[in-house]
Amino acid sequence: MGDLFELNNVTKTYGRVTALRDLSIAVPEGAIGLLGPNGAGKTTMIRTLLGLIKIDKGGGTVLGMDIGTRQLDIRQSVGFVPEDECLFPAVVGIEFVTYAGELAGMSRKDAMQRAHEVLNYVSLGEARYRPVESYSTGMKQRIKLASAIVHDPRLLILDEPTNGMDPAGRDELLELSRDLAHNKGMSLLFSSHLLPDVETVCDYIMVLGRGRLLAKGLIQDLKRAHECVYEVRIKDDREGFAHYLTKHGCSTESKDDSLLVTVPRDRSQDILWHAARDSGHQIRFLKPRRSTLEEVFFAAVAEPD
Amino acid sequence: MPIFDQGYQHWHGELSSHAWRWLTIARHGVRAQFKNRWTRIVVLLAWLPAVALAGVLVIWGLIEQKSSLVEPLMALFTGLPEELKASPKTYRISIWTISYQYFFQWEVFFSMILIILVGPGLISRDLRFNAIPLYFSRQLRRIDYFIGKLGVIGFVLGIVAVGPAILAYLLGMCFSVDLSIVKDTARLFFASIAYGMIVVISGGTLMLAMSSLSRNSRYVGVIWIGIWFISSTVAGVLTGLLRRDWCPIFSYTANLLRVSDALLDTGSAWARFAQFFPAQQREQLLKALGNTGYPWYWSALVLTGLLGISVWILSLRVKSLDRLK
Repeated sequence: MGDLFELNNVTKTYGRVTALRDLSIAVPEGAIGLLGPNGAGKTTMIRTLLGLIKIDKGGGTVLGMDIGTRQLDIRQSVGFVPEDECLFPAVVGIEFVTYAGELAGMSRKDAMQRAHEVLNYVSLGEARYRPVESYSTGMKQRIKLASAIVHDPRLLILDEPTNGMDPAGRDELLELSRDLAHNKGMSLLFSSHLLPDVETVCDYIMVLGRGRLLAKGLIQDLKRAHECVYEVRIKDDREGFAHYLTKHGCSTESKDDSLLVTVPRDRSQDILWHAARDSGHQIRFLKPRRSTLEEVFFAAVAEPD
Repeated sequence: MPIFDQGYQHWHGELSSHAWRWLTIARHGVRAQFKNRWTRIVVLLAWLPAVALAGVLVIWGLIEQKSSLVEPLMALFTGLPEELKASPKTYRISIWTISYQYFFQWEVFFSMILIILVGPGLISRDLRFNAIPLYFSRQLRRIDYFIGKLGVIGFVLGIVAVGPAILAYLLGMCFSVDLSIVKDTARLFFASIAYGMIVVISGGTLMLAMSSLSRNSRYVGVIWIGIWFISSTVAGVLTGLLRRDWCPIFSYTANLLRVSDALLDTGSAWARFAQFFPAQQREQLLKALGNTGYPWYWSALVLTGLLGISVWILSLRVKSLDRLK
């Protein structure tokens, strides 16, 4: 599997502000989450990938095409769903997507046929003859998605796609994004502040902060197992079991309906089974604790320069 | 049923080269504009001068042939000088030129109205609906976007001015049955095309620049009317006060017409007719017929300056939006 995109020492400044600072990264194909606090450089990175801005230094490729010389070819192979409410004015849904297809280079006939298909796919088949201005926020997001995939791009870039959406609309969009990435073979760059959204859709994340790459990798790898920490659920007397463990050298912490138990480094999880047997408690759930994506994110952005 | 069960098929068709993307924008814009009933009505009205032009050229061709078809009409031309009636071919170029001059005077009027109907929303609505990122995230350059938008105005003005001028020319040729007409009138043919392009490029670019200045199409329309009427009024007032030949250069439409006169060489055409009048009346007559005393290139300079400003505004306004928020 080749790289989806690669950036080498990319620097971009706006006046005194450095949006990207010697950013180097190579990302494999698949569903990629782009995380970072406000001002991290996410949007500048997307603009760079689309060839919409001139970078001060560095270079790179998207789908094997040079970002400095083949911007138009890159945009031909990429679909983009902008964050803001963007609409072609005074058109109905089908015309909106057809026009997007024509702008991508499809003949009108092909674009029209394809527009019907993708509108069905995003569940806007019933609303295809309604003016897009009358669509709800969720429908507008879906029609933007439809217009971005009408020419069947190899890479789809979604910039904060679930912003302002109700839970049902958000779930639909996440499900569509996940389906495109995992079942339809389309690579995805999913930029979002919402970590659960990224976790739902993506397999791989990159965390940007202050224009630099702070972390990257497969989500499963980043959410590493903690060697001595276990998540335990007990029937009934949780406090009593915690007290018993503390007396035997473990430290405990309540979390929701579970206990997070840190066992001494020289002991294994057997200490928990022995403690349960000796104290007469019943363990209902036990697994080594893994970091959440939230913890990974905050750990990454908290790292000093 | 999960929504993705309706399936997604990959597409394996051919995509065209990006060189023709502007045409997509123009086609889309034209389709949208012709949904407006007023645009269709004004286009129909704007064809009336073309019908009149074609009528004059056809009738003159028949007069040249001394055709029996025009004998009933000859009563209308009793006031014409005998020299002209005796040798109509000699005055062919003058008649054609003056016909085209009047045709373009009317078409400049209709063009101004059509630009108001078609132009204000071309960029301003894209700004209001934030459509710019949808364009520039595709295989599209700024120049493609501008040319596509200009193409909408170009098409509308083309079908009311340039197209009918060419059709009338071909019809006039058919009724003349004389090959020398090609040599005599070739200038008019090329001048019509050139003038049509000047109106489209000048008026279209100016309108696009104004359209890029506001998100509200109505304001843009008002500014356009202001440029049209106020500039003409200022030129009229200055002419009245100062009585100088160059005062019309303050009027946008007067500048367009001055360039048209130069391209069509209307001065020579009118001068030929003026010879039928006594010498002392000739100069007054020529002045009254619009033979202004200032050089045509002053008007061309004004139009070029406006074009430069328009391009500058466009590059500034749309460049600043060539970004994703």
